[in-house]
Amino acid sequence: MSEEFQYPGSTESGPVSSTRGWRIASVVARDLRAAGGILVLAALLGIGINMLRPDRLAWVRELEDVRLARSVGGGESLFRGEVAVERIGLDEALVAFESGRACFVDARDAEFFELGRIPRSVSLPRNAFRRAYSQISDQLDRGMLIVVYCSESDCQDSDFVARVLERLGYRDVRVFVGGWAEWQAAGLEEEP
Amino acid sequence: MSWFGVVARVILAAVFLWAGISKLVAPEAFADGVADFQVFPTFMVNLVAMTVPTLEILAAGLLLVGPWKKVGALVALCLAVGFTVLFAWVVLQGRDVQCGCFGGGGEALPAPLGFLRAAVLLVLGGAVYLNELRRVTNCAMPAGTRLK
Repeated sequence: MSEEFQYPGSTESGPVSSTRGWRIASVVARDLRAAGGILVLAALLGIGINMLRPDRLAWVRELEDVRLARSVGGGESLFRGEVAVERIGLDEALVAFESGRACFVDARDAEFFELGRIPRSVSLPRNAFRRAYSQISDQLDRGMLIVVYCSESDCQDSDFVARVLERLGYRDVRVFVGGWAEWQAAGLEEEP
Repeated sequence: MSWFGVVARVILAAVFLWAGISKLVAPEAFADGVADFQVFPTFMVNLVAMTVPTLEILAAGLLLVGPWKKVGALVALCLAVGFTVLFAWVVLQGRDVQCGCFGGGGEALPAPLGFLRAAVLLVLGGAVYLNELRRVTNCAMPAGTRLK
């Protein structure tokens, strides 16, 4: 036989097990309401702290290009191509490759890099530049020849990445105009 | 109250405090991490990146404060549920993420490892909340009341 129990202030009555279930549900509901309040407080605090800091985040996330241009101090000149970058064809790219002293930088998306690339090249995609650069910057020497390429002669990614690298202090940066398409068409060595 | 409850609560608070401060120090890296999950629409990414660190710090603080520790545990549990779902999504996609969970930099975190870490937090958060809930609801029972 179950014992009847009523909490003080409660209008519910019934078996203890059922009342306890309601009690737990009401406590959880109250906690959830309080947690919602904490969420709102956290959002307001977070926004307030963000507004006070010099490196504040924008309300809406900017494109990688814009954030990158701001972080290297290049501004719009990086997009307009006002900074001239030396452009080379397949022959010069091949000479640089065979010399073994140049570093080839692939400016395409990482997915394309994984599918196929010029041997010993490193991935520095335009759309994830800062993150990729933080991982491979120790492989790049500011005095070495850096050859940047993207998918083909019409793509702009290699130009953009090359200009950013120049802004970062790399002194000998060149763009391999024909890119991956020309390299493949010439039947040259590939990775993987 | 059991030693387990106290130890689990302090560990949970320490992890969330550490995570919150690390994110607060490197907001851009954390915003990159949030975007890397490819779940939130662009207009929400920075808002999430502003809110989560303070929410984690508040949860850690509440976990250590007597009257509010149950709410703190629930907030921590909800955060852990969110992290677990996000990492499960990434695991299903077969990707790795550089989540910025504990500050910026470093290699991308293998998604299964992130999932495991989030799942541990989930279990810990669940245990702490249930422990607090049981304590509160049991305390409300008059002494000698027999439960079915």
